[in-house]
Amino acid sequence: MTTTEEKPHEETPRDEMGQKPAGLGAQKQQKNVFDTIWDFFASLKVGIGIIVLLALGSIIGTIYPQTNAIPSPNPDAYYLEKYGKFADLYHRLGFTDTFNSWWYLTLAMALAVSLVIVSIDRGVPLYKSLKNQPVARKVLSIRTDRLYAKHEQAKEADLDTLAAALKKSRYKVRREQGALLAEKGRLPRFGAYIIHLGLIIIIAGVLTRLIPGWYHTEMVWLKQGERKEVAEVGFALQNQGFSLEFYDKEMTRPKKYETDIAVFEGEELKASKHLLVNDYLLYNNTYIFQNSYDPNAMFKSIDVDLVDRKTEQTLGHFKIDFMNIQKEYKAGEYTLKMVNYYPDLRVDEANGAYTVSTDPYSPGMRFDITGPGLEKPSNQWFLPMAPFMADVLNKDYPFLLKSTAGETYNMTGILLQKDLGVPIVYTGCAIVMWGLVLCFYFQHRRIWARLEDDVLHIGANTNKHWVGMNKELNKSLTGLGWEAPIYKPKKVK
Amino acid sequence: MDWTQLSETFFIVAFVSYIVATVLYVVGVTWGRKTAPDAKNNLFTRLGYIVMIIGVLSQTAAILARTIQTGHIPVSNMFEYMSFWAYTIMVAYVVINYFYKVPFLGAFVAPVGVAVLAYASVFPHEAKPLIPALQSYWLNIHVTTAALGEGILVISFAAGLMYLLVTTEVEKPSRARNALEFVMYLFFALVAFVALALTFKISGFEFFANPDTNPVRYGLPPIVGPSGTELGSLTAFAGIALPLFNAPSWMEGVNAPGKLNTIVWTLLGSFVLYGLLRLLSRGPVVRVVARWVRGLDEEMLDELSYRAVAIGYPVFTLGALVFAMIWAQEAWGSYWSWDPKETWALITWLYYTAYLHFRVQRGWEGTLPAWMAVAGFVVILFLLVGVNLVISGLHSYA
Repeated sequence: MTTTEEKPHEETPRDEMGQKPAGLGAQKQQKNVFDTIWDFFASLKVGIGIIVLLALGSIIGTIYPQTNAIPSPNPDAYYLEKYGKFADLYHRLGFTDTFNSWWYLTLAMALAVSLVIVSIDRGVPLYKSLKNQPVARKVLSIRTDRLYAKHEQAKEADLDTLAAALKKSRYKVRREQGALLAEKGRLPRFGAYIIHLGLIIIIAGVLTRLIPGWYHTEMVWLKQGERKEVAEVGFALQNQGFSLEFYDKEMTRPKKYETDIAVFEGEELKASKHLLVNDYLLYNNTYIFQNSYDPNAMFKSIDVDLVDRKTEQTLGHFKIDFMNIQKEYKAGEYTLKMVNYYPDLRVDEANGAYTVSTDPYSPGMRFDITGPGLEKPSNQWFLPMAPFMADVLNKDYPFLLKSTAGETYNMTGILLQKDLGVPIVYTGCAIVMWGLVLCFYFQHRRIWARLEDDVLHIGANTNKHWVGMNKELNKSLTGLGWEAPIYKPKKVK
Repeated sequence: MDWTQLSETFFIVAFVSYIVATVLYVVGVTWGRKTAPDAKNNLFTRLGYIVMIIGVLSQTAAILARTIQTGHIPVSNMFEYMSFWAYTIMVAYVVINYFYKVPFLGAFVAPVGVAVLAYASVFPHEAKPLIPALQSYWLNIHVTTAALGEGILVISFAAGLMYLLVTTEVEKPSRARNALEFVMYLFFALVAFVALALTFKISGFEFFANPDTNPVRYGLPPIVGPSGTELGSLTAFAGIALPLFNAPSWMEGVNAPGKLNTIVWTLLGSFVLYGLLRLLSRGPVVRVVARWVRGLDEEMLDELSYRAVAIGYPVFTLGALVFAMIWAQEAWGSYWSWDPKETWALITWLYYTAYLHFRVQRGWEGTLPAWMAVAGFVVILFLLVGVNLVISGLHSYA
């Protein structure tokens, strides 16, 4: 029913916790430090303990979003502001970076160590004992098997008959004088150790991130047409066209966002692709993903009319190209000299007017306007995002600056991901799946037969699914016209 | 051909079939056992099985129709996903019963399946077009395999519960009996919630508190108001002015008063439902339910519960972890980001890993693993529902 260790054929008998008893008979086993450490990690109880602690520790890491997932570069303030006092305490205790904390990583390392030690500690003796198991088993031992059958008035030839019948059920049969061992599914018996091996490989694949040059992750934000060099991977990316579509007018549900991306080494175009989410470009072992977009649009250009406040007559117009800001603009007969430019304008009492970034999300500028009929330059604000405010500030000045048309765009968010350990992790996953299938969907079955005093004693053993073993042996024996086997069910506590 | 309408029709047929199957099974384990107490099967449970199969076939048609309509297997929002999970639970039962022949198991699995399907119905049905991150064939592979694994694990929950009902001495008060009674209560709490939510949804109830300033959406009459509201000032229900009390000010999550209100309603409804059932049972409800499994072989149930985990665990690993990691790598550039949903899938996996390792030790068969199988259902529920509704992250599409 469950995986059991095969007692009769192992070299060193173990107790149910997998511990080797210290000191057998005359030979006193000296337990030194290494043995203690080894036995600690080989213990099933400790293994379960590590698994449980990892689960509990992981739960802690889900209570509040971790620092790698919050939209703020200042976690110390963010948690207190957004979630309150409990979250602040949680943050101070280090739980906002649970999965990189010393205790969590220690548990993960302990798991890795335990996996290695357990597999050697139990896998190797198991392999040896199964490899060296004898064909001829003592009758006394066979008679205690949970699945036992007996065939009276038996001869040596009956063993051959039995061998033939079992071969039909795909058993591998070994024969000796008066004895027989039929076995199938020995590999599934190692299923658990194959799973462990797979997990160890996965952990190794994750650890390769620590090797310099194996792992790099970076978000690259590109404006329309912009080219940026990414030093760590040795090439530059250029946004040759980004399109963003929403399902709704309110722009809350994105329909698609895609970029025409180009990879340059120096001036040479090396690769290009139309990137979609889920459809990446792989260049030089680096994955280039369409990851996201800047939800805040930036100004590309604005068409501005210069209007006389009193007559409401348009005196001229000009165009501001935010990719190429000029010091001076001409509108009709007037010249506008840019005195101040705030790409992302904020105003408050303490600091006055200032900019929070170098990107034109919310531009504001001051112009000195000169031209016919002006004794001195008219110093005015142009605030395309806040025209009413501009009107208030400009109320004593002769002109109005009206934006008539504008183009905005969103930056594309390109994720660069280089992780040479990924194939290793995938291999580990495949091995884990193989181990799981072997361990849970197949069984290791063995049938011994021994001829003694004209009676053929038949005993069977399986590591799982006794009901199935019983059915199969029953079918084989009754098919030969022999007595059906007796099954002694285990008593459950 | 209006595939959506067709899908809804088949869905209703499936829902009704599952309810009928549940009734047949419950009759089968109670009244149907009276004439032949030792029989493992009777007319009612046999009929229940047939009706269950009808339901599964109908829901298969519903899923197919919806797939034709939307172009992908319907697992992209809470309604679709929970319906699909109910489907895998019923399919897992139909298949397992075919091989292992445990008809009375149906009396425990069918109500769970119905509850999950009813819970699914509370959510909006409309298939919204997929956001870019979900536009991938991996949606079909990862989510469906994970759902199948979770459905199989529910069988281990039901068999484990049956084992505990057989082996626990329910006539005498004890900690074990109280724990089992609590499990029964939790089920009634789920039923109460679903009944309330569905009733108010069908009647078209929807209420917004503070619509102009900070709207809070209520699907049930607001017994709990947003922090700072004048009591009795929002609205009235059944002649009582609401709210009766307010959410504490430290609750700052999205729609927190609405969610707290739902919890309060669920508690009230569950007390009423449980109280009624307890009166009808003239004592702990578990005493009545234990009679359903009287005479069943406990070793067989223990084995069945274990086998369900043994079969479902690899499927869950493949769907919820391996496929999820591959999709994450393809879509987000990283196979693991410690996103709450990913982490809870890992926690669920670690939980069942611990369960399997417990069983390797000799002497740990029987009661403890049965409790772990029962509690495992709660872990899965948190993974599927709790994370989506309580915690937000990359996975909060639904």
